[in-house]
Amino acid sequence: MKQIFTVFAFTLKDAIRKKAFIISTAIILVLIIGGSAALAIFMGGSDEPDEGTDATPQKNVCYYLDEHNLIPGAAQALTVLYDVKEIAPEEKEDVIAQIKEDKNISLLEVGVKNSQPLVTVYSKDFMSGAGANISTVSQIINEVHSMNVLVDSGVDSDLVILSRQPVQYETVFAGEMNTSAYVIGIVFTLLMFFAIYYYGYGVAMSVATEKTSRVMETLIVSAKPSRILLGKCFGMGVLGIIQFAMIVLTGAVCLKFIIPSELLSQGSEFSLSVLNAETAAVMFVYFVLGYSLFAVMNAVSGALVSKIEDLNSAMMPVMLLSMVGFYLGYFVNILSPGSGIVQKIAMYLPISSPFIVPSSMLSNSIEPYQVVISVLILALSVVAVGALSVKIYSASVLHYGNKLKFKDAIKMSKQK
Amino acid sequence: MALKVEGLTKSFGKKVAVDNLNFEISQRGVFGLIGTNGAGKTTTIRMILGIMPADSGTALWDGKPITRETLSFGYMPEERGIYTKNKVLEQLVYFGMLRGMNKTDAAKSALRLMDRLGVSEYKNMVAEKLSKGNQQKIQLIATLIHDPQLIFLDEPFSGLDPVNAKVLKELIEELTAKGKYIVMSSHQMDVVEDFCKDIVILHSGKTLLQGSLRKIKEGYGHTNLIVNCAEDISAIANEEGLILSDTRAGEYEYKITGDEMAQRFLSRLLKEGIYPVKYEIKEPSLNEIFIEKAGGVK
Repeated sequence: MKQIFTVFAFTLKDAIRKKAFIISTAIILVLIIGGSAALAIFMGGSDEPDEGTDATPQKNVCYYLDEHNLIPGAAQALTVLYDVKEIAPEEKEDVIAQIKEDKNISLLEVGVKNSQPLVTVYSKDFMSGAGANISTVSQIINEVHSMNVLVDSGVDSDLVILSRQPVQYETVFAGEMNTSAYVIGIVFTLLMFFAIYYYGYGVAMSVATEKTSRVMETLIVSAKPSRILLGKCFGMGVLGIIQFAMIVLTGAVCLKFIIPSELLSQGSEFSLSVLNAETAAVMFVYFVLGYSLFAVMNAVSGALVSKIEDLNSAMMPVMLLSMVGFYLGYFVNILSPGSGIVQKIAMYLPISSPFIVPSSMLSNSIEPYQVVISVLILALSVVAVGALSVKIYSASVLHYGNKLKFKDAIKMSKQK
Repeated sequence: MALKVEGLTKSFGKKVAVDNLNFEISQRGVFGLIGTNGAGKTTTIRMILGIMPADSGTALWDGKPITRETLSFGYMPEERGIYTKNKVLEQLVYFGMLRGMNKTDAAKSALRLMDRLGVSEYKNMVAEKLSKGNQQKIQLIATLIHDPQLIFLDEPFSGLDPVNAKVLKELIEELTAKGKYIVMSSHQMDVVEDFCKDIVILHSGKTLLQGSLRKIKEGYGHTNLIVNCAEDISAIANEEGLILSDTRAGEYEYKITGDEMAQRFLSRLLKEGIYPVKYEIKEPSLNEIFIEKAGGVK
């Protein structure tokens, strides 16, 4: 136990001082704080105009030419969007000359084509997207035109106005969809994958570096390989928890003091209150077990290589497993929650359960007994994979030469 | 106390790296494990230390299997391995703590050995900034930091300049004087000859020769004659049947069949009025014995 702690302390201290850790942590925290501040500024600027200043935005000028009054009332209706100026046909060329110089000026000309009104829009160029917003303009003019047609046909104008009133819609969720749980679930799943990938890579790199630099030969006569492996995994795991905690803490502070809550939850109240002691404990357990499962596999990847440049290819199978687990978790739980057979398998599958169960628990879509079974399966898997990994690691750390194939490593580990 | 190796065998695929190796170290001092590259020296050490499983055979210390927990041993591997990006003292303390020392004792021991080997000034420097020779000294300190009883030194002199080699030789002599058991693996015969009382010569995993170096040499008798004189003695040597094996700075080294041949040759020289300033009858060197033995084995 003392040796495990010694390796743990050395690994943790060494990793914390590495530039990669310091820089990546600083970048992540700056991004969180900077992103939150940018969101706050953006939200504040658009929704809350300062009192005492002219809050009305400057309207663009829209010249309107309807020589034969084909759509009466249209110019008036357009004033909600533009500073509308009706012109005579002889002024058209002058206006077009102005439009060529100014992207904020546009001209709507009403003519006839196939016995139907035709509205021609003049704007500076394609990129300026028409000084007039064509879809909005066409919606307003169509509205006025159809009303004119109905009124001209003898339909009572009040009736026409009444019929044009839009039907109102409102959505009510009968289930227990909790936006806060949903957001926290997504964030946890993403952070979990990041931790497994980043710190797992750290474990593999640490083992491979010690092997290729031959430090392993000095270490292995001092401590059992299993103790070295466990110490390393614990060290990198605690490093992950430290960085994880810093990210979560910074995120929580930003959420509390900087980010407008309506932005995250699209109008509904966002709160961290869904994170009670029980869910936080489950998340912690899954973080530790999920990370441990992949960390011991990554340690074996590191032990299989004799050259650092072989490390990525040795890690590929473990990375693929973690990506399969992550995407299962993401798609099943976040995009398509439910209780189908795929969801149930993914919930108990050790490679995917760390990405699924904590989020499911937050959204109350999993029963307590299912959590217990899932944790037990994951814990047993960590023990089983860990025991196998220790054997393979012990057998392969002193193997130099070509990259060891997994089946050869297994064969070596079976020797007494 | 004794190290007893019985029937130690290891194969990698079809290649037999060590084949039924037997030897015993019962006296304090330096024991030589000799052989060419690939002879099986490092594999033997790894099997003795239990960090590589043997296919068969045992290695016992005082009748008990050697483990990290039951015996305080030190091992300096052939391929030097230290943390290049870490400070020297810091990693030595780490290695000491892995050997069961507390932080304070590990630091004290590391500093004492650093002082002894003349590398104290580098204690707060990252190891990659040290010369190869100094890195090797740090590796040696990592091996000795916990004051082990049994010490394995795998090619300890390779890569050392004469000054550092002298420092290491003095340290080994100190360790011997302190009663340590040292197993030195090397293919540098002159180095082994300086230190070792007993040896095992390995070649392609097989034991070629083993036992007391003194007795091995005595078994060969006097086979070399070194003569230093100003005159040309080659004609007389030819007439007496001596075979010239080497010449260096006025010295001639001949192969002789025994003491009688040397005496006869000396009488001839004196009769001819030639008075050598040096006339030395010697046993064969370990290097010669090794070449004779290894050269005859395919």
